[in-house]
Amino acid sequence: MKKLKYAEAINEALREEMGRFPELFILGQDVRRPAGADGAFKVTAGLPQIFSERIVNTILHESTIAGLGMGIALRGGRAVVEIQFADFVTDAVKMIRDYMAGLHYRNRISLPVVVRMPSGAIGSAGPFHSICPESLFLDTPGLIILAPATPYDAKGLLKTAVRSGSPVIFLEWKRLYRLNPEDYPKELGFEIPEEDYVIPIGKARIVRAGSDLTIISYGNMLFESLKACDALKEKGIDAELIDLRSLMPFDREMIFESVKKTHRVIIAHEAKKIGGIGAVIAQMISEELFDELDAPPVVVGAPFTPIPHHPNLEKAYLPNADDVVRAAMTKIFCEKTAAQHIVSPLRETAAAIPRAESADADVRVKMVPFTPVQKIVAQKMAENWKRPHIHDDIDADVLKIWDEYREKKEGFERAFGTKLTLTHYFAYAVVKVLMQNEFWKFRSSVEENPLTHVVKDFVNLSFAVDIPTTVEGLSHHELMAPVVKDAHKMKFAELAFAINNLAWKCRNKKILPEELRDGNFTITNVGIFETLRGNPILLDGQSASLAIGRIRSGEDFVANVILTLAFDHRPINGAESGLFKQALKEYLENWNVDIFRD
Amino acid sequence: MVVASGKTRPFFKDFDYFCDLENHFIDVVGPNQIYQRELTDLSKLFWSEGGRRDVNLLLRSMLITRRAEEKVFLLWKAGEIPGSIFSGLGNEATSCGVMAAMKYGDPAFPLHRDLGCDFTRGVEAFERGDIPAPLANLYFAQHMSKASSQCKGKDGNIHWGIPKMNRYPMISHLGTNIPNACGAALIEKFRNSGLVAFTFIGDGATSTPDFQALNQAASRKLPVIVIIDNNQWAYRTKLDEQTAAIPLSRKAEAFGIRGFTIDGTDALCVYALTKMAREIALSGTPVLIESVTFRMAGHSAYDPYEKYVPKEDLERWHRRDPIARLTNFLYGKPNLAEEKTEKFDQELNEIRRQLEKELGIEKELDEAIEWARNAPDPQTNTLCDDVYADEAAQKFVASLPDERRRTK
Repeated sequence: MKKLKYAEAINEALREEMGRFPELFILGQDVRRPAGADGAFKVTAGLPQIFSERIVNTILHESTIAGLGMGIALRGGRAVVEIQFADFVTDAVKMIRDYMAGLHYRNRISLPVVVRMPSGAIGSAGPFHSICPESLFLDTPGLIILAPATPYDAKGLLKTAVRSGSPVIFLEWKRLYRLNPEDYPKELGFEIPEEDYVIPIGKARIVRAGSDLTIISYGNMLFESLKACDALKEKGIDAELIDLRSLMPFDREMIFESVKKTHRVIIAHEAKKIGGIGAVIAQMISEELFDELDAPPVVVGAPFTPIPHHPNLEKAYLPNADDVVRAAMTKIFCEKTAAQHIVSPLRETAAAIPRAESADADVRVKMVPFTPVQKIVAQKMAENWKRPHIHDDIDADVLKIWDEYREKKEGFERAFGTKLTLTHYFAYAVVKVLMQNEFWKFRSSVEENPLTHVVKDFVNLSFAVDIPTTVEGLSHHELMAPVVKDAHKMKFAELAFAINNLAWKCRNKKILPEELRDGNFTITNVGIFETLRGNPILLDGQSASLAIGRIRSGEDFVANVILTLAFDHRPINGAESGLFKQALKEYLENWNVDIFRD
Repeated sequence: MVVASGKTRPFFKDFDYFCDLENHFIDVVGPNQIYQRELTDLSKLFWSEGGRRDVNLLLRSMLITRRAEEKVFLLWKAGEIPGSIFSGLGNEATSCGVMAAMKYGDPAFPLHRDLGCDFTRGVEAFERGDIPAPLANLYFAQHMSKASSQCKGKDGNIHWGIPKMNRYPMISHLGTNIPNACGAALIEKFRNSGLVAFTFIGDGATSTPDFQALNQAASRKLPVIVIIDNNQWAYRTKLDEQTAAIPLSRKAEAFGIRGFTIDGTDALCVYALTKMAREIALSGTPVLIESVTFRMAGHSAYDPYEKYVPKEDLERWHRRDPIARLTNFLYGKPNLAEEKTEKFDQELNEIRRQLEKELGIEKELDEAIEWARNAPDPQTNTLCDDVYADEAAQKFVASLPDERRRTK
C-alpha cells in the first residue's frame, strides 16, 4: 500500500495500462516533451521515456486530437487523448458528441477512447481555464462521464475507462493534482494497493453514513461537502455523503436507497446549478421518490454566470461548504412546513407498527395507530365536546346563488385564475353577517376564570378540508381546518382565492402551522358529500360553527339548503342564534354582490 | 507508373476545370510551383496484368453503382425508403477509381457520394466472407432501414460502416473523417503494415476546421490520402463562393504536402493517379487529390437542383459522364463527340443495358431488392439497445424507468 498524489495516481494508471495494451496511444498537446516539461500539468511525465512512439504530440486542434484517437480505435487500437484544459474541449465537441458517442448505437462499433481533461477552477484562471465541462456531454447517450476525487479512484477509474469499449469523458481536477496525500481528509485518504485494481463504472461510494440528509457530490465539491457534513453535525444533523464518481451512468440504486433512508437530499457540485447533473438527479428523485421526500431536493451549484477572474468574484462564484449548510438549514430543516412535522412521525409510526411475526398471529386484526393529525383533532374534539353547545337549523332558498354560480363559474375562473365554488358564496355571506355589530358574540371567544367575552373585531375564517390519503394501505380521510386570516377585509375574489389556495396547500403538504391557527369561526360544507345537514363540533377558541348541507334543487326551480349552526350556549342563547341565522338566510336569498367587481 | 510525360507548363490564371483538365492533370510541387502535366498512354494500364483485372472491376463497379442508385431512387419515389437519399451520379469514376487503386486493407472513410467505394471493395469483401451477403443486398437493406441492415434501423442511407471490410461510417458533419483517417494512418504506420488510410471530403469541407488535421498528417509524415470530391457544389453554394483557392489542390501547399487535381470523370486517370499517390503517401508525404466532377443531381433527393444549377453546366458535364468515358474507351460507345444529346443518351443507355445484362448486374440488384424487402423491420423494443458498448453503462440505460419498456 502507498499514498500518491492525484496526478501521480493518474500517471501510474497510464503507465500500467500502456504496458498492458501494446496498441494504446496517448495523444495530446505537449504530452511528449523532455522530462519535467511534459504536458501542461505533467500528468504524462516519464511516459515518453518508456513508450516513446506511442506518446504522440498533436497539433493545436482538439477535434483532430479526439479524431486521431478515434481513428486509432477504429483500427483496433486504444487511445487516451488529453485536452490541455477542459475549456478547450469545445473544439472537439462535434467529434466527441456527434461522432464518437453515437457510433455504437448507429453502427455497433466499439470505441475505446478516453478523453482526459483538467477541469474546475484553480484560482483566478479566468473564464477559459476553469470550466466544469460536464453539461457539454451530460445529455449525450453513448458517453461515459467519470469524475474521480481521490487518487485511489482516479487510478482505478482511469484503468476501467481505458479497458471500456465506450468513449469516456474523464474529468480530472486541477486543484487536486498536487494535493499532498496527507492533506486529504481522513475519509478520503485512501491508500493505493500495489496490485492491479479497477473501479466499476456507475458505482458511487458512501463517504460518510448518516440518517437525516443525503448529500451527493463529486470532484472539488466533495471536499466542501465533507466540511458541510461536519458543520451540520454540530447543528445536530447527521448527513450522509455520497461521492458520485461516475456521472454517467450514475448510481441510481445507491442514491435512491440513501434518499429512502434520509428523506432529504442535496446535490452539490462546482458546475452551474442550471443544467448540471444535480438537476438531473433532483428531477429523477422528485419524479420517482416523491412520497419519500420530506423536503424538496436541493441543488447547490455555481450561479448562472461565466467564471469570473478576480479572486473576490471567483470566491463568490464557487459554491462552498457554507452554501451547502445554508441550503440545508434554509431549504430543508429550518423552515419546516407543517406537512413535514406531520408526515415524518406518520411514516415513523407506520414503520413502528409490529407486524405479524408468525403464522399463529391473527392476521384478521391489524393495529393501525391514529395519524398525528387525527390524534390532535381527537384530543381537541374531546375537550370541546365538554363545552355546553347545541345545534339548530334554518332552511334557505339559494336558487339565486345557484343560478349565478352556474352562469359565472367559467368567466370567474378566466378572470381570476381560480375556481369558483358554492362554498365561496357561503363563506362570503358568513363573513359579512359576522361583521354586523349585533353578532359580535359569534366571532368572539370565551375565557374562563373569570368568565369573559374576548371580543374580536375581525373574522379569521376557518374551513374544513378533506384530504383523502391512506394509512398502512387503508384508505383514510384526514381533516384539516386552515384559516383565512382577516377574511372581513377581503373582496369576494380574494376570499375565493385564499380558500382555494389554502385547500391546495393542505392537500399538497405545503400548509404551514400558523396557517392552521387563530380561526374564530368555522364553516364546513358537508353538502359536497350529499349530507343533508351537518352537526359540527366547536373548534378551540371559537363560539360558533356553521355546517352547510346539500343543496336540493329540482324541477320546481327551488334550491334549498339546510344551514346548521353549532354554538356555545354559555355566551349565546337561542334567540341570538335565530337572529344570526335569519340574517344569514336573508343575505343569501337576496344575494346582490357583483363577484367580479366587489 | 506512367501517368505524365515531361511536358509541363506553369500554372496559369483563369483556370477552367472543364477545359484545362482535358488529358492533363495539375501537380502542385512546391510554393507557386503548380504545373499542368500531360496525361499519357493510360491505355497501357488496360494491358498490364493487374491493370486489366482492375479495369474490369472498375467497369462493373461503376455500372452497378449507377444502376443501384437509379433503383434506390425509384424505391424512394415509391415510398419504400424512409427519409432521403443521396446520389453519386457523375462521381462513379472517382469513388470506384480510387477504391480500385487502393489495397483491401487500406482504411477507407468514404462520403455520401462514394457508394462506388462500397461496390468496388464489396466484391472482395463478399469473397472473403467479411460481409454476410452481397454488397447490393446490404445496400438496399440499409436504405430501407431494416433490422438486418448495418445500422439496424438506427441510422439510414449513407451513414453506414462495415469495419470488417475496412470501411468506416461518416457523419453528416462534413470533414470530420480527416482526423479519423489520420488516426488510422498513425496506428498503421506504427504497425508498419504498409497500409494507407484515405478519406473523401467535398469541396465545402475544405472550409471546415477538421481540414487542418492535414497539418498533423504532414508533420508526422502519415500515410494518408485525402480525396476532394470536387463536384463544385456544396448543397447550394457554388465553389467560387466557398474559396478563391482554385484549383483546390493549391491548398496542399499550405500543409507542405503533395497536391493533385485530376479529371474525376476519367476512371483510368483517377485510378492511375491514386496508385501514384499511394506510393507517395507510403513514402511519408500525405497527398491531397482534387478529383473534379460535377454533381449531376441535387444535394439530396429533395433538392430541386434544376432551380439553381445552370443548365449549360449540367449539359457540358453530361458529356463527361464517367461511364460513357470508360465504355467509349473500352468499346467505342457512346460517341463522346456526338452533338445531339438524345443520340448520346441513347447510345449510352444501349451499352449500359447490354453490359448490365452481360455482367449480371440487373439480376443481382433485383435479387438484392427482394432480399431487402423480405428482411424484417426493426422492433420498437430495440430502441434503447446498443447505446453503449460498455456493459455497465448499457445496463444503466435499460434500468431507467422510461427506457425499460423500450428495450428487450
